[in-house]
Amino acid sequence: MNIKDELLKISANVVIDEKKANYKIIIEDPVKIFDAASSLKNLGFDHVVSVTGVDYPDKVEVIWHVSSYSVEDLKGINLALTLPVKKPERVNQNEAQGNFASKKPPVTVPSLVKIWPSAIFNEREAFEMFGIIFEGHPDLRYLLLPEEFYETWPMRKDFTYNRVNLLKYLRCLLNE
Amino acid sequence: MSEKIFNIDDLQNINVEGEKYIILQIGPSHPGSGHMRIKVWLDGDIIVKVDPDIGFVHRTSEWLSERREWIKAIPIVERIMLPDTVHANLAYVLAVEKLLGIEPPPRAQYLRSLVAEINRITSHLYGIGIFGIFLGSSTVYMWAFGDREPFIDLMEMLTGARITTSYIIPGGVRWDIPNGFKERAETVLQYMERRLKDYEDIWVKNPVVQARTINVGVLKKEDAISLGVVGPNLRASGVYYDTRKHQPYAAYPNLDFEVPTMKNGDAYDRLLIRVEEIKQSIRMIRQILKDLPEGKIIADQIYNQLNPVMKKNYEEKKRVMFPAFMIHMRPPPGEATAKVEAGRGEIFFYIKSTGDKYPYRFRWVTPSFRNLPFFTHVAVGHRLADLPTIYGSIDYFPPEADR
Amino acid sequence: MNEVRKPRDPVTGHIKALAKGFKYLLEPNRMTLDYPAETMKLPPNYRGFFTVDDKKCIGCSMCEMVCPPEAITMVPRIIGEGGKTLPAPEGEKETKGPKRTKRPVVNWGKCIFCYFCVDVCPVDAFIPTQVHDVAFEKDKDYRPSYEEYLKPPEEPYKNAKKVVSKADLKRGVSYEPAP
Repeated sequence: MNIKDELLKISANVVIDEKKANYKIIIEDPVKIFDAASSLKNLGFDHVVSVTGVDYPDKVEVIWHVSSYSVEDLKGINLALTLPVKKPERVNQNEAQGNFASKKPPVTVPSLVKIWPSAIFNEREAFEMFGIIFEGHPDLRYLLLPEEFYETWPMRKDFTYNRVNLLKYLRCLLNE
Repeated sequence: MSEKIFNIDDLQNINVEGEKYIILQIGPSHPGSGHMRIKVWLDGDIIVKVDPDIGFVHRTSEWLSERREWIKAIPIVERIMLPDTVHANLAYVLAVEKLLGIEPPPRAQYLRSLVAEINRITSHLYGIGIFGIFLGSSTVYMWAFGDREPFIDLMEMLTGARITTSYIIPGGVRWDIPNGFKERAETVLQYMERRLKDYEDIWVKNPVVQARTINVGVLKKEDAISLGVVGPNLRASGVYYDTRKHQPYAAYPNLDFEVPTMKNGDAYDRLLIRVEEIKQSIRMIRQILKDLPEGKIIADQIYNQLNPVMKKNYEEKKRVMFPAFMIHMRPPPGEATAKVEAGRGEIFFYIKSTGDKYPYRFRWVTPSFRNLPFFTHVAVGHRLADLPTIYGSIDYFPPEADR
Repeated sequence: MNEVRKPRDPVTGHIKALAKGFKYLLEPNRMTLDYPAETMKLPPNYRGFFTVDDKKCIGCSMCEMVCPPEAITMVPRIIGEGGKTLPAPEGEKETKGPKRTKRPVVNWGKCIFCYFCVDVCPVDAFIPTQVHDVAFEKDKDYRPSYEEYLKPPEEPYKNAKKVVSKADLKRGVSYEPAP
């Protein structure tokens, strides 16, 4: 089985680095991600190692790192299934002020938990850290962060930990 | 018992509203749960649903590492995985080395494997000891924690610190083997081999232990694969997968070792597999000490940057000092992934560099985090009294899962 | 692996476990150090408290830059006051007159003993010791001034018996008097 040919069937955009055993497959269209993931699972990539985002000024790249336990040839491969999503424009500037960290609109991608159940906690973490809403996730709640970080998406590059705003936020909580 | 295969829709379908069920909060103040809370829905004393609530010891290691120089991430990742410090250190350094394009010399590779295997034994003993106290046996808890001590002493002799060694740096390791290390290691290994027989009598083959663990917390092979479980827990379910074999690093391609697997995937198998892995680690340490190649312990790219004072120190004390490169390291733009088999399972690193002073994206996943689905799936259908057995058998370490 | 797994006959199993326990009751496997009465002499590369050699240090701030917990601060210092010169490090020219420079001070409350600073020093000016068990009475003591920092760390329990740990076939770790 030639892994490169199989991957090229799924998407034309495949980056392979044989030396580092890094395989990257980029899907541009969020609609196609579900089909691509199903074909990968049929190939033998049966579990998700990590789900994460990479934040850029204009987009968020969602990466599912998948690997295989059942197919001997694929056990040495770390495949990154990448989906770049454009960030929506910030809607209301004024509303954002006064909060602990300015509110930023989240991005939405389809959840792959139905295909890979091992992504369940990973997708929850990517959701709270990057503001990626996984549509179709059965249990999308905050996992690691405490309340004052809600909707701040701390792993995005424009996150600022502003003490003055934090105090304001805590005062708001007390008044409530 | 959870006879059926895990299905993701069950999470939505379990209806736990109403007065029929008791909600029990186990933890987070450590009544046998570690620094986490396990929310359990009970029907009588049968577990209906489990919701692990983690994050009480979240230490933002990814956020911190993205705002610091590359070298400063080494102590951070070590402090997250305290029983597996060497593996965390090694995994991060492997990813950085892939970005930098540095290949460490053979002697450094062997030393990395050596200290990693010593660390694996301490990690498994830690796991066995904690499992012991969860089942109510303080004897094996004291024994296992005591028997970590000779191995920690070996680590101290080699690296200068007991737990947080910071031993592995990009390009090699920081100290060479001191005089008398080989003899001491051989004595410790013989001692451990003898003690393993004692463990067998008093703990592993004790009828009480067997009665409490056999057929408790069964994880089937298909479930282990679909839930993405890692490490000894995965191999106890019969999946032949070990990062040391399938994505070899350090000196593992040259070492002769077996990957033990079990068939049943219950709590007892997860205990046995740790004992078997200790035996394999002992075998590997013997091989490493026998075949240890001569030569430098740091790559030439780093060695050539040392100034005369540092080179003199290297020749005399066999101690690698840091050139200024270590502070001002700027790996070329690119991405690297690295996987390392730690005591508890597989550590995964994904690092993205933009050629800057700091990593652009620093992502790592620890074994305990990937073992979390155990709680949601395996414990369901058991009695509440079996929850400590299941928790203890998977060797879960909350600070490691929270990162 | 199934032969390992086979359940042991309850009677022999219990008897074997009890016999082993009884054996260790008579011959306990203690590896504890009688700490304040005995203290360990640690291996030479053990990472303990460290101080700096004022004459060797060149004030380059590399240690401050590499420190992961940012425990090191560089304090201003004038050497060679009143026209006097301090002896220069070996192989360097002596400089005349007062000179502004910097010296490192470690905040022991933050230090994690990774020894990155000791290893990054281009002139090897840090003096490592194996002292690891210093107790601080006040919060202020964690943050010494430069003059206090220059003093070598004081080892508690100076009169204690010095021992070294040794691998032991029977007990794992045993202690013998330090040479």
